Amino acid sequence: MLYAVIVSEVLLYLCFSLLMGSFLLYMVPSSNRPNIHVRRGTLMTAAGGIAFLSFFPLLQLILFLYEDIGLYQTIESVIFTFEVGQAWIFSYILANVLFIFIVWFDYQNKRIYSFIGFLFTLLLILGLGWASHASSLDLWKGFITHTSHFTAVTVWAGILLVVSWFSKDYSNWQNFLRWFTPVAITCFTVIVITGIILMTFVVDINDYVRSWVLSYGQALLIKHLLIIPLLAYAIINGILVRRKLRTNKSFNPKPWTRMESIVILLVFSVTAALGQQSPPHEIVQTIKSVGASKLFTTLYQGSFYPEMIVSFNINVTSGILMILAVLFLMLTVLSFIKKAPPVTSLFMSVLFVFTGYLSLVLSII
Amino acid sequence: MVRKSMLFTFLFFLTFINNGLAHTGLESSSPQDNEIVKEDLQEITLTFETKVEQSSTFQIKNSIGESIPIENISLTNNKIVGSLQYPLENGSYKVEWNIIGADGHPIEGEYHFTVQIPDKQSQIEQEQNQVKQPKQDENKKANEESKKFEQKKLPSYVIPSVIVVLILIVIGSFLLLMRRKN
Repeated sequence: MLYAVIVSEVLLYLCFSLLMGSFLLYMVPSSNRPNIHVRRGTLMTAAGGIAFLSFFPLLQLILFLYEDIGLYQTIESVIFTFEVGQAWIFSYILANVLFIFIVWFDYQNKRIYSFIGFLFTLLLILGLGWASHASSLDLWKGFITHTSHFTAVTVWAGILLVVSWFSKDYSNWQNFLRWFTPVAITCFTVIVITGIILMTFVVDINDYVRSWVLSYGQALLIKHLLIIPLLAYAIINGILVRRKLRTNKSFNPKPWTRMESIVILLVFSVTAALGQQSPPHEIVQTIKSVGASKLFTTLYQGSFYPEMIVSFNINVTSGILMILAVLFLMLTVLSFIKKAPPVTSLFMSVLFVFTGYLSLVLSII
Repeated sequence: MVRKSMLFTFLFFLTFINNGLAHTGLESSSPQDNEIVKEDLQEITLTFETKVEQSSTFQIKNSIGESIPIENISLTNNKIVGSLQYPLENGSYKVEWNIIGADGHPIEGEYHFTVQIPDKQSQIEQEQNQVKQPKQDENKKANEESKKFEQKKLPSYVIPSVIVVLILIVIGSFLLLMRRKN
């Protein structure tokens, strides 16, 4: 069930990104973007996917509770009285309306319709933010932060996904980059700031290294490490590609944005896994109730006990690994410069995350 | 313009940052954690930081671990109130709560309190009990914990060999890449 929920979360993020990206790109005049063609069926699936996939956390809750009070009663009480249930009903109805809207209206040629589609997607994101974890801790602060975080993610990832996988050619790519680069930078800034705020809801900044003892902290660390190669791709796709296009008009940039979107997919997966771990409000308490991360205790060289105070101390092993990590990051960019197959660079960035992870975890004492 | 609006967003979020850490879970309770209650106790109130959903509940256990029947549990917004059929006897008690917060996440926790009403016949008896029980409890706990934190460490040669492989990959791919034209 745990894996089903994680997979469903990743697919849910994809559905949102797909809708957001498609509607936004259809709003842009066709001279400022490549020719894109997102099939009606694809967007219908995405809208249906939101209605269906956002039910999984409720299903998990129902399965958790039904033994005590019976299945039917549990379903009724979760859907109609729980805050998350009510948020789901809202999402479900809205996703259905959006589904019908996609069937009936010509969003591909009329910009006003793609704008309306965009508004629907935004409303669905609001619903998601309402039901989110952070919003229940501190209603408005959590709601605003979570919603802006997710909106920025779907705008950035969505445009990138659609342009990489649903474009028919790569015409007007320079015009496209001219507006997409500032949009991406803005989104990234919002993502980082709101991400830090969302993190402080659950992890005290001073406890960041200590939280690596828990599965939650491990997932958070891997997520943060994955963001670094994402930045390398942003440099490749935003700066180096633009330079290359100036001299070589026939250069195809799509394989490289595809690699970036795959890294985003990895970030989505880690985020979904993160959502399923117990957040470490009180680290020692959490270790005692859910246990430490197996990955951590396997790698950790000293003997482990819950109250231990971990500190960060770079030694020879972690130093070498850190240098290797930096080299892998450079190799990611070098693969582009040397026209290697894009998969090489993806491989290099995965090795960067692996090496960087080992380096950081092994430098804990 | 873009810069201005970015600065604005940044400042806007900066104002939120220092609000500190929010904790899910118990905000306050009556009796409080580690409180020594000197009166008849027939009602227990737990107040949480968020709204708690239906089916949230708690249990009271005495020092031997027997649960005390709770007659009636009522949920209102962020409060759970449980009333007992009879006032609690002298002794130490543990409250184990198991709630579903407004975000739909199940959360659990526990806290302890002691009832110590003066001039009760059973006082001597209780004290004897108390001396005996915690020891057993502690032993049990220590056992459980050591089980949970059993460590399967990596053999010492794994990390160095991983490093060697990584170095080879770096050198290999660097040489291969440099052979290609720009």
